[in-house]
Amino acid sequence: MDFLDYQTFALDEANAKDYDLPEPASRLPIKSQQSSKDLDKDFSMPRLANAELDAEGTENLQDKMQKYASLSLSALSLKRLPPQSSMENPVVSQGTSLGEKTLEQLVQNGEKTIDNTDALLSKRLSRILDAHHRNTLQCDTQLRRSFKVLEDNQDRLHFNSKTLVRPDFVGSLARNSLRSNLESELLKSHLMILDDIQPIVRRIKRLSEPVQNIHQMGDALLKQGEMAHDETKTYMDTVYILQNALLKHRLKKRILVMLRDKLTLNQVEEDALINSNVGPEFFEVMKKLMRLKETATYLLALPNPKAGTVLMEQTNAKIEKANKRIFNYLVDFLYDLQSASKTFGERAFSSNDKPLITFQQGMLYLSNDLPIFNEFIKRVVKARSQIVLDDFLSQFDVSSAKASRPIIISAHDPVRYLGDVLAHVHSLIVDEADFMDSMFKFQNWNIQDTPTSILQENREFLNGLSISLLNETFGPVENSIRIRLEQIIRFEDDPIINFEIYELLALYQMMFIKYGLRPDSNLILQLINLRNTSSSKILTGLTKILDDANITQNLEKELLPAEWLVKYLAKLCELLTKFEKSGSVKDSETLIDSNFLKEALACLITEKLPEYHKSKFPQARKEKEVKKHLLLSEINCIDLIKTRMLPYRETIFSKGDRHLVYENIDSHLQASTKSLIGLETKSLLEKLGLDLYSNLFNMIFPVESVQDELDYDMYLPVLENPIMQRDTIRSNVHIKLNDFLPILLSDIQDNLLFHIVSPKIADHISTECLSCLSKFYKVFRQVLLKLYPENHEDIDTILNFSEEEFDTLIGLN
Amino acid sequence: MVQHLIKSKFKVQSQLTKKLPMSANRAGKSLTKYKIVFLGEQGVGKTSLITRFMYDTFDDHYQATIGIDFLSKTMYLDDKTIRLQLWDTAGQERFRSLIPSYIRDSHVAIVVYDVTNKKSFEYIDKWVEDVKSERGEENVVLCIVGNKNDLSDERQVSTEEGERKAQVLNAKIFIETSTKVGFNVKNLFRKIAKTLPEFQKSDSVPLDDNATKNKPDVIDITTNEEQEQSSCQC
Ligand SMILES: Nc1nc2c(ncn2[C@@H]2O[C@H](COP(=O)(O)OP(=O)(O)OP(=O)(O)O)[C@@H](O)[C@H]2O)c(=O)[nH]1
Ligand SMILES: [Mg+2]
Repeated sequence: MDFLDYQTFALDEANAKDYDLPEPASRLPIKSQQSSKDLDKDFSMPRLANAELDAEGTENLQDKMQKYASLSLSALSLKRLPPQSSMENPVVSQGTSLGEKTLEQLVQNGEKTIDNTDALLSKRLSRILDAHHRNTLQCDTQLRRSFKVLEDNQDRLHFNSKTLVRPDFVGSLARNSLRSNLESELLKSHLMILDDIQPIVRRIKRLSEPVQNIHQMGDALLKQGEMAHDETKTYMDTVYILQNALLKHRLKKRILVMLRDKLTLNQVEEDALINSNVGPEFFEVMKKLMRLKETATYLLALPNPKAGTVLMEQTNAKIEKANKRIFNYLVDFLYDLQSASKTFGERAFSSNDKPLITFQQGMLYLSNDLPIFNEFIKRVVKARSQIVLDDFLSQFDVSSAKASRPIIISAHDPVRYLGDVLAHVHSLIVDEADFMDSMFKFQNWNIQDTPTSILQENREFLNGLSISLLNETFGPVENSIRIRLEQIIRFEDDPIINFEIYELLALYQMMFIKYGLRPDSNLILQLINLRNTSSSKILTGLTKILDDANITQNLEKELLPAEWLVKYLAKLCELLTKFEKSGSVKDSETLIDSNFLKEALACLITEKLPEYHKSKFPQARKEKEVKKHLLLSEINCIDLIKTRMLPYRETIFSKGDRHLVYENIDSHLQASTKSLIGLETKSLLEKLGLDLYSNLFNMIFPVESVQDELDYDMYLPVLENPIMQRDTIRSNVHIKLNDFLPILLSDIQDNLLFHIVSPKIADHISTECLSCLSKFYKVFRQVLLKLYPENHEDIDTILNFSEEEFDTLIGLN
Repeated sequence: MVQHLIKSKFKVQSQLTKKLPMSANRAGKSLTKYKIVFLGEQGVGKTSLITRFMYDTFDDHYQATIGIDFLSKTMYLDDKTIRLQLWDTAGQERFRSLIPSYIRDSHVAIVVYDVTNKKSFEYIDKWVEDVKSERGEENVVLCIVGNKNDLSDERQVSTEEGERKAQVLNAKIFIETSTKVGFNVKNLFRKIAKTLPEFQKSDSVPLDDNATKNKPDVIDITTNEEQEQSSCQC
């Protein structure tokens, strides 16, 4: 290996290419030893791999060498030098000295001796020995290994060991070719290694400069560092400060990024706000805006509210714009719905329709901006009102080809007409309530999903939205409805019909409220107004009957109740019967209260009847008989009133202070009866000639109050009166008594009781009159007997009827 | 005739809808309303019938209806919405005058009597007369319903009598029900639904479709007659 100079392959340039590789060095100048040429002439080296050698079975190399040497020597027939050769010793130390000596000897003698073989041999030997001496065992093993390698690569190097060791030309040729082969093989392998190394070298070259720099810098730094050792601490402090600052900046950045994310919309969101359709995406952004607004309110509470103000302003501006978009969307939606309704008939949404949900969500967000929301509500109300109004008016349209008959057809029957109108309004209300519920009831709300502030503030308002919309929708319609109703109510005079109308209005008022109208809504207030109108018309209708009856005209001589009274009472009873059936009797607030009854009945008794009687019996004040007739007529009238009211005594008249009205009638009747009784008794006494005495007696002490015989003594002073003379009494009384008493009963019957409608009252009156007569007769007769105790017989002839006889004759038992 | 009218109107609607599907989507589905008025003497079970149908409940406690009550039931069919408006009238005498105004524009009149009350049965004639004077003979789907058929011991009107009367009065539907045990109530409403133009196209009521069960506000009137009959305890 030594024969290759690596340096010759070294690359001069870092950029040297493969083809720039230097040419291999010229063949090495290995020449065979000049001396050996001659020597080798007729000498052939014994074959190392000779059978003789192997046969010995010697393993030791030393032995082999020895054998080989001896073989060679024998071949050269160097028999003259046995002691030298026998002295050959493998021991290195000995061999060397000996060998050198021998070789010198050989060389000195060589030229002189002709024996070439000797010289050659010695030369060779010395060389071998020299080699052996120099390298000893290592060299041997190396040599062996080399041979082994050679042997192993025999095929590759194409050599024949036999030819190789031939001493002749062929051998030399073979050896030369082997050498060249070996060299080229070696070159090849070296080239390969060089190839592998080349890139590494290149890299090293490239790096060498920077490394150099680093080295230099390092050196410089080290030098510096050594110099500035004291400043290190200050540098480190600066580093820490800077690091802290860096950390702070990082934190600041994080905070700012978070603030940005929290407090501003990103581009996508901004775009969605302006360009995307109103829908989930849009509402997401709206939601964020709402949150921003919420945050802004917190920021406003800071000592420096500037951030809050700015954020609030920005957010508000965005929300405002967005709200306008929502508003437009909602209005469009409404418009679409309306035009579709016009074209295709009514429309409806199921509660989970996506467009409906978007619509409601839009409203929810819009509700935060009250002015614009109210504007929207106004539009809704306007649109719906128009629809309702159209529908309402269409019912009066005779020409429209509807399956149901138009309301106008029932206009002849006021109650039916009003019923139709109100029933239709009823159905309009429930339809509209259905519609409002479907569109404006926020029941499907996913509340967690919406910013709390919206719902908290607007929940109540939104919850009542469908109801308030319903009410507002009927606001503008109310007028048309009222007009239709009023047309009828204004011109209806019949108290019964008015009562029915009143009841109808009350019922619808209740039903409308039940289906969503507020008690204070205009329509309800109008109904109440109309109700009041019709209720006041009930009474005026009733009194009108009396006014129209012209009670002071067409007077008949009859003492029976007048036609007008009968008619009036019939109406009143009809009304009361209706009222009774209406089921509102128990209600103290009802139309027919004590006032109404007072108006309807008390006035009749205290005003109308006296007026009537006054004109019918103008002479009543002067003539007793006429007065009696007046009373008779009065009793008959009041009795009629009383009997007609009797059925309601337990119902209508039993509640509240209405019973007073009934009692009032009764007391009037009793008063009239009483005065009639008084009048009649008086006239009967007159007819019997007893009137003067009755007056006299009653002046002293009311005869009715006489209890027993002791009371008679009170009348004893009458004796002083001249009319108490027996003769005067006889002339005043006797004939009249005898003439009239037998016909008294039939006289009462004909003149009085005949005219009284109620037998009960007639009976009462006659009984009262007669018992009065009877009592007076008894008292009178007894007092006379007391006054004239000696003239009993005379008295008996004057008052020729005993008390019992008197009673019998007047029908009292 | 009313059915015919509604039908033709409906046809026009559906044609238009086809032309304008876009706006139709945003503007909801077409809505057809049918008014159904319940008539009959006091206490025969009109309110109970509606309550059973709407909420499937029953109350033994009688509370007279005051005035006119209203309830509505919405059904969804494909792209249509049908709203049944149920008008519950009061049987009490004092509310009689209100009723004709409601019959005036009703598509269906259901006259109810109580099978345990002969009088309520006899009064049917008067109610039917009212219906006919308001709607004419043809403009209305007349139904006669004999209710309280669970009270078999107290029965005063036989089913045959009811059927005969329904025939005489030219009623389209006659059925005996019991709202107490829930017998035939759904059947009654299914029969009524079948008379409506929307359901006449197909042999079966489209509501029998199972898919509608999952939709909100849909009346399930799918229970078949056999099942309902078996639940009758009489
Ligand atoms: N046993 C039985 N009782 C029933 C039935 N239907 C109704 N009722 C009872 O009958 C009574 C009257 O029922 P409602 O439904 O209120 O009668 P209505 O026809 O509405 O009465 P008005 O509103 O006054 O006209 C109630 O007490 C019910 O419980 C039924 O099928 N069987
Ligand atoms: Mg009822």
